[in-house]
Amino acid sequence: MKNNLIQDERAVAQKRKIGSEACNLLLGGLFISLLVKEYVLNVPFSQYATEVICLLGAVIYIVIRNLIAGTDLYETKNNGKKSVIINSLVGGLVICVTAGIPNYARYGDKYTDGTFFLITLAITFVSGTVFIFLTYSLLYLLNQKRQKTIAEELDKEEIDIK
Amino acid sequence: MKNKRMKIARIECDMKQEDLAKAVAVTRQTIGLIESGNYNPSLNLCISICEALGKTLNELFWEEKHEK
Repeated sequence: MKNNLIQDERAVAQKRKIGSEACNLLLGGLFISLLVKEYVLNVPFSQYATEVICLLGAVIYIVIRNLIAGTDLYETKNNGKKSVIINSLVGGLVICVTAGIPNYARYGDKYTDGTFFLITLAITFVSGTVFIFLTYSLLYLLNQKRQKTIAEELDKEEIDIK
Repeated sequence: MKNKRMKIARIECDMKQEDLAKAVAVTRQTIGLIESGNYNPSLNLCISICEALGKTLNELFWEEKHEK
């Protein structure tokens, strides 16, 4: 049977854009829901585990799809290593603050000495920074490897033409 | 379908894929995909490529089979 359906590229692109926007809104809503449950409602982790799993799943999917497709995740050429360190430090700081606030809210009365709380914050900062550094470094290496493979393929094609 | 005319025009301009990519503000991969016929560039990108290579749209992107 002959397919007489109209494939309007503008309409298709618009539909894809709307789908992408809906996905972004959904992920943003999940993140806000997670923050509200954690910091406003103070509910236990089991109450928002689904949101965390969905968000992590989405992030992992986006990263893996980009790596497979060959999109450069670290577009800051020649500044990739620098961006890994900066992102690790900023991420460590964010983890330190986001973990420090509920920690103090829940166990603030048990901290007889401020030094103990500062040590807790320092340990959180260091572990957070190290964790993000290791994750980012792994992604950086995988991304570099993929970009190198693509560059080699393109080089091969260029040599073939000459 | 491979875009050999674009490759030839680029080589005539003594440009590497990387140079052309920089000139039109895209990645080298995009230029490679256009040349290998695996990506359809937007009209704006086609125009930028033509300007960078000093060619017309017809010279680079028009195919004989389209002519009536």
